[in-house]
Amino acid sequence: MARHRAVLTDATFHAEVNEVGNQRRHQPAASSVAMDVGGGSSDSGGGGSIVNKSLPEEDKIEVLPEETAEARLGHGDGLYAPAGNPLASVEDQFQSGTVGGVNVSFSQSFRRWSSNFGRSVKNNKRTVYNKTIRLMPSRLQKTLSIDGDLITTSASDVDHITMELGQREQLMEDNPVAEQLRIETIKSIAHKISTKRQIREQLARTVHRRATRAKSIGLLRRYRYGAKRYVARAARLAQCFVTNFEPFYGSMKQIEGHFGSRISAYFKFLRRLLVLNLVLALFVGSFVIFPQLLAGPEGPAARQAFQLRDLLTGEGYLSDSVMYYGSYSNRSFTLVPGTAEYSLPHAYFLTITILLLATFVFVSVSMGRAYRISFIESSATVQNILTHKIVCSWDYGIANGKAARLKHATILSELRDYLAQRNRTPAPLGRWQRLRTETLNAVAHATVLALIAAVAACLWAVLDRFGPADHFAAWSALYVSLASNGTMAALGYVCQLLGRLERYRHGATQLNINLLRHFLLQLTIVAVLFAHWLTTRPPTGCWETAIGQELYRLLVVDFFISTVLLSAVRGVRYLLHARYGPARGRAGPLAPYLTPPPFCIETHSLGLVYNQTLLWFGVLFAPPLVLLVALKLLLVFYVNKCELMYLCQPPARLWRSSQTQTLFLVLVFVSLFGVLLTHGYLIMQVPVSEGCGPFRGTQYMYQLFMQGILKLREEHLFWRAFVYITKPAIIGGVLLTMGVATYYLRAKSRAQIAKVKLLKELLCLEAKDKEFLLANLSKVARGKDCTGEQLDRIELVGGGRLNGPADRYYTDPCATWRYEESPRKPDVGAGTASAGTTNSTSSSSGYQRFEDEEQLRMRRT
Amino acid sequence: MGQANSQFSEDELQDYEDLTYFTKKEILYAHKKFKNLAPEKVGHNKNAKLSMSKVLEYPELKANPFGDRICKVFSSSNDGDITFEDFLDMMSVFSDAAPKAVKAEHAFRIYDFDGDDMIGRNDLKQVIQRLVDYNSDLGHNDIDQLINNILEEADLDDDGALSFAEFEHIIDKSSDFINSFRIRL
Repeated sequence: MARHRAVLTDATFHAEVNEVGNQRRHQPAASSVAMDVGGGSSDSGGGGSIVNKSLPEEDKIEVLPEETAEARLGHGDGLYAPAGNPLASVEDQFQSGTVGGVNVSFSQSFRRWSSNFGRSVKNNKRTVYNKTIRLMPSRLQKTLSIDGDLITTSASDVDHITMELGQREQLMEDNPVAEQLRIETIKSIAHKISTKRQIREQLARTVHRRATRAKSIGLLRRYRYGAKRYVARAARLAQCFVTNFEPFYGSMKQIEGHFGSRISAYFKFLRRLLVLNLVLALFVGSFVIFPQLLAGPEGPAARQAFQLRDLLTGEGYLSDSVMYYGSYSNRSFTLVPGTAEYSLPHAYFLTITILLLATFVFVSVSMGRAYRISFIESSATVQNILTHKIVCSWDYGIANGKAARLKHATILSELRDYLAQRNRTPAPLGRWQRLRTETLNAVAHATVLALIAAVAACLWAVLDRFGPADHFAAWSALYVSLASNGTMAALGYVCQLLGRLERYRHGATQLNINLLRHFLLQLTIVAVLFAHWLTTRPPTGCWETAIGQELYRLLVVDFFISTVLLSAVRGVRYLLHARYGPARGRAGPLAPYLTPPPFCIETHSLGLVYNQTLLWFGVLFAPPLVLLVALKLLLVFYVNKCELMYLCQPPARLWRSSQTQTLFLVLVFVSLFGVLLTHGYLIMQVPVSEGCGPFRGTQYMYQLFMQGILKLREEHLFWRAFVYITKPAIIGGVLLTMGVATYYLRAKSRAQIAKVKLLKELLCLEAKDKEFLLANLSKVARGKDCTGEQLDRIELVGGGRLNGPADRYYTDPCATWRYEESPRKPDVGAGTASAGTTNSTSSSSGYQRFEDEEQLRMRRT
Repeated sequence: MGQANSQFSEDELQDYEDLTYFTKKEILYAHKKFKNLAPEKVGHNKNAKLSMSKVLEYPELKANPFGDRICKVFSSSNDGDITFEDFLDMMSVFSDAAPKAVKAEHAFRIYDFDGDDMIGRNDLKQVIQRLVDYNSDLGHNDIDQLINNILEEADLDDDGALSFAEFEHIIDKSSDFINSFRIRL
């Protein structure tokens, strides 16, 4: 709204000109009287004074007292006169200007306006103020005193706002919905609490007064409002609950206070995953694990004794527990005989598929929203880089002197970078230099791809060597997970090193490329593991349990490597730094290298994504993994927090936090999508093992579901709908429609982008015109002689704009200039009509005399 | 909710809840924070007026280069002194729940040092100087150039200053503003 208004400003500008012209022609004595009104309105009191006060000074000059009286009469109550509504007044002006403007001579009214303008030329900035003040989101006009200061007495503010809110019908109804709306609106007014309270009281009084006049509401409506009120109250309670139980509130505040919102974005991501996993754990626990525990194990199998090693390897005691797919029963059971039965296989299948799909929907929706906010809607910020750096750079959450100093330094260096970039003439890169950089990049990409391929091949070999071996009694079970996690951590560093060697021109590009490489590496490793497990399934035994165990090991080992081990390494680095680092003044040969370890957000976040990918893969084979991962994330949160607080130095260069979060969401989405595809393949195409698990007895997992449907009669509605929907024609049609819709939306968005661009250009042009005109007018009004040069410039401008009704403004400047050249005659036959004017302007310049002369001439013709 | 021994009645809390973006519990928490600034004074009179220097001891405001501006903008006596209601108002605007438009309006007033409802060259200069902590590394010429570039980018109507509409236009497109213009209670 506000921005449209900004575009309109210029239009209003002309419209006002016209209106002024009209009024003046009918009532030549207006200005003198109205000036008095402007000055003396504050003492006159009553409804009229409010109306006058609400109008900015420029308008005050022009408002006729008669009109004010009319407004008062017409609307009875001064408090609700539309003249008090700034928006309405602007729109009225605009309309009257466009409607009346056709008939009135533009040049004449323009001259009227210019003369007025000349009178207040020393305040010419103020006219601009009035325009912008109208745009305040509180939709409030502040009264300007004569010398341009803002008078913000709260009493007048309260009146304005109350008046304005009183205009909105849906706010003023006497029902709970309107009341809720009222509260929301009052909340959003940018004023002190005491002012808001007064406004609320006034509004409540008005509503009450109106309501007593209105008839009482019917029974049905009362019930409906009652229901709505309960819903609102429930929503508020829920909100209260959510805000009161925000997990890690204190920790988050501490992190934000010490390191700012960009680092806390990582912790927010972590917290989000943790909450997600806890929700999953709740459902899995209550629908799958708990019933299985109730149902009890399958037959009296001799369970292996528990060893501590089993916690690491996931074998032994754990392999027969509810941890894995294999030990879930395929029975239906009932606790109280005779009541409905609980079918474990169905519960298992439906819970896990539905949870995965729901997570997928949730992740896609939040990714889409984040993407829209941080990439599409903020795409315009590309043009406002510097302004952004200034306006949004300070992190208000910083609450620590050290962090504040760091922030100051970061801002300073960013500004210096910006200046250096601006001042440096972009040296055209030589052909050789460009060739060199591009070769370097290509070599780096090739190296990374080759490395990843090598890792994949090695991993396959390791799997072949240790995978199928019977390692139930040995530690060798851990080799695969150790190897893969170790390689991943090591190669992460290699990628970083390569990125540093490449020397990209933008820091962001380097970070993005690093991130993508690292992510590709993780994906490859996970893909290789899965491909191997699925292709070399043992013919006997329970391959699902085997995969579950592998995933269990991967997750546990990942925790020990990337959290415990790397933290320990960081701790050692920090100790070395504290003992022998440059800070202690001992300039050893190694001192410059002994910096405190950096806290690398992208590595940590990628670790989380990897973790989550494994979990989603594994949840089908080992449902309790959800609990395990939630526990792990909890530990990771505290370990990372301690690292950040005590050991690491915050990274000097950071991404924009919102974009970072979006990027990680995209990565999560990609991996989840991959997981879902794999699961789809597993469920449809891979035969389940015959001897174990809830699905034994069927060949494929999906058959369980299909059997459920097949049990329905042929004519059943669901069956028919299912058959109908899966017809190729329908699916094709849906796809086609989606394609067409996408195409249409894309075309629309492109058109809108083009339109925005056009409008922006238009705005710039209009602004230039306005500025030019204002400058010239003020010169003329000061009585300066018009030189030929200025005339030329005016003609130039006029020549440029030949369309539209307003052109005569610009192309016909001669009347004004003609006056400058014409011999000055004394006023002849001023008559009674203009007596007031002559009196009032007797002290003003010859310019106004000319204006009155013009008026007379107009009247004669 | 354990507010039996609090200094507020249920009605007062409801009143504050309707006027700010806080829940009752958060309001009590805010009061606790406010009380921590001057325990004996606030303990005596829950709505006591604290001087600006006292309020600036609040960690977030202390670290903030615009701390005094924030106090002035939110002070109901316009001199930087803060009562509890002003403090609550401030925290409500800086909270997560406050919409962008409300935040933008207050940010505009914070950066508008001379109070003329336009962010002019002098205002921008002050903002930049405060952001770099009056570091003399950034000379006058540099600051002038920065200001020129800012106006070039953001001053759509070429009047040499940023009006609120122009400011809001920048903010509106920014996804980072709402993250940075925020203080956790």
